[in-house]
Amino acid sequence: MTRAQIFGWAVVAVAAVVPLGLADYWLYLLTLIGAYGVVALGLNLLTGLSGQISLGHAGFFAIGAYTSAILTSKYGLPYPAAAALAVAAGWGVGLLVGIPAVRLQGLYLAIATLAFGIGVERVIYTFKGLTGGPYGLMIDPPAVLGFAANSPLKLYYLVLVAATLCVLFIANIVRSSQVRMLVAMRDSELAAACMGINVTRLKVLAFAISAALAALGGVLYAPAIGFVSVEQFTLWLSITFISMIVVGGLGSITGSFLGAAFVVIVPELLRGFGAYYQIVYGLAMILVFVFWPKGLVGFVDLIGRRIGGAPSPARPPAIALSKKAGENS
Amino acid sequence: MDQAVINGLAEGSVYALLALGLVFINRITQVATFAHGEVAACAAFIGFSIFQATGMPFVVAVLCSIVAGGVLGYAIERIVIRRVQTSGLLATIIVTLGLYFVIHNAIVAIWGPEVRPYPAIFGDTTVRFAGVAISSQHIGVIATAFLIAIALAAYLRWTRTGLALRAIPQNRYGAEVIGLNLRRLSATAWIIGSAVGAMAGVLIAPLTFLNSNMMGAPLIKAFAVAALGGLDSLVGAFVGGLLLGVIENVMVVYIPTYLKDSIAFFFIFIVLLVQPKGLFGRVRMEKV
Repeated sequence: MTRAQIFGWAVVAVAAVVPLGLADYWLYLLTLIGAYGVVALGLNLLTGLSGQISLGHAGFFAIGAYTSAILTSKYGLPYPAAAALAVAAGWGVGLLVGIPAVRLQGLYLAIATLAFGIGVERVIYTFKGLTGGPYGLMIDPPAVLGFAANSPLKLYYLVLVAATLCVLFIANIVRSSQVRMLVAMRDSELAAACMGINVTRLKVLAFAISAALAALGGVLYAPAIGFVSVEQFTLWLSITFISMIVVGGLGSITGSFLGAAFVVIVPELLRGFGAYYQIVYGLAMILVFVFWPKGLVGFVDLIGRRIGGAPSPARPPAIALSKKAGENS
Repeated sequence: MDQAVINGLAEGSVYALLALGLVFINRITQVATFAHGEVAACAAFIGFSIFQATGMPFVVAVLCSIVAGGVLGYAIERIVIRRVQTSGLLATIIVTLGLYFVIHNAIVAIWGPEVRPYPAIFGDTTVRFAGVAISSQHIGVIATAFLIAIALAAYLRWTRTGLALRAIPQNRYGAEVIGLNLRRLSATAWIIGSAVGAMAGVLIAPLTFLNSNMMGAPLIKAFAVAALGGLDSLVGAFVGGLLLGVIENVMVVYIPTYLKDSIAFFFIFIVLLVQPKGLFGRVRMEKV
């Protein structure tokens, strides 16, 4: 096993043992971190590794949450089947949006995806009969193979398993030739194309995978909250997602979950201050780029290096935030 | 129908001014700022507070708003943007989104979330013109937008700084070589762009009432029309803004009201699909 694998499995082991003694409230927060972390993994693939900026991932997240919620509650499908269909729906819509979106570069892509996210919100609102619109839908506790996740602890384990599988998936493809091509493309699209890389296909693929992961995040999020309504999936959520990967650390698996923890825990810590936690968000987003472009994972690395005397293992190679990230010129 | 067109032109004037400021800043600094709307809202609030506290004539308060917009723009450029300007698109998008949250919630913190009536700048009379009743408010808004656009065009056309500001988007490298002070001109662009944005805030406040959320939707629409113009065409942004206002208000006759705000996004999605650089955008050749 490499250091990265040891580190990863150690984190999973800790995450599996720690919650046994925790109150339901903390379990709920950890569950949310898991669900958001899955979204961050996907968004990191798209933005951190391939340099495409999406301001519409709340749309895919909502597609996942609503598809699974509607299929289980209205059509009585078992949760695993509904989850699989929801992820497939995220993938499909990701392809549909991705194919035209690869024509767009940089800021235009950001604006188009922003429009997409708001569009999904309107669609949910418009089809009140199916989605409940502003009144929302109640979510039943999911059951997987006869095992009903009807308590916060069981739900937490469900999310932990799903998140671990996603990390394994991403960790496996991160070293693949495909993702290396993706990084090459981010750094210079023209050079990548000249070397015979099929830029369009790769971009669409990255978009679809990232959309599918966002949908899976939604599938996990819905039962954790127990309720979905259109106000949960606004532009604000898309921005939360992007701030998650930026604050956590671009292109990093550990960073994805650190960022998710940041956006889940900070509002809770600042609960007494009303909406002011958004100022903290805003400042964090600014300060990260002004002073510390490596994000939270940079701090973890630093501490790891102090203790272990070697670079932290939990990071895919050569995917630090480059000046070119998101700039396709 | 005529009424819808007039309303549309008035609303569109606000989008147009907002988009104008956005494009003005983006042309010089290559930063499309998501904080633009909040800067405008903050400026409108500052002017309003000065008006209430001192009781000076309202026109002076409006001027204070515009100055406040310029000062805010300058502060943002000096303190934040200058440090990240060369760090790429993702950095500037995230940082300006961060600024959006900071300013937006600062407004909520200082002035509270409540909606306040904002005095009508151009009075509350109605003018009859060619059989259509037009409120003086609407005429005033449209006229002001055109005046500002013309003033901006004159500034760019006939002043030395204006000339420099036109040179930069044409050839950044060349502009630097001939000794233009890019840093100072960036600050200038932020001041002017934010002041124009502040004017949009002041103009929209009487229509939507003064509140912390008033610039959210207009900003996104301004982005939409700015993108139509390729983010670097001032004329495109202005015309696009007016056009969007009219289209929205005419369409609303045929579709449910709550879909009104979606027209802009539908519009932009279609345009970007057909014309990825916007309708007026220049296609840039890439050198290898």
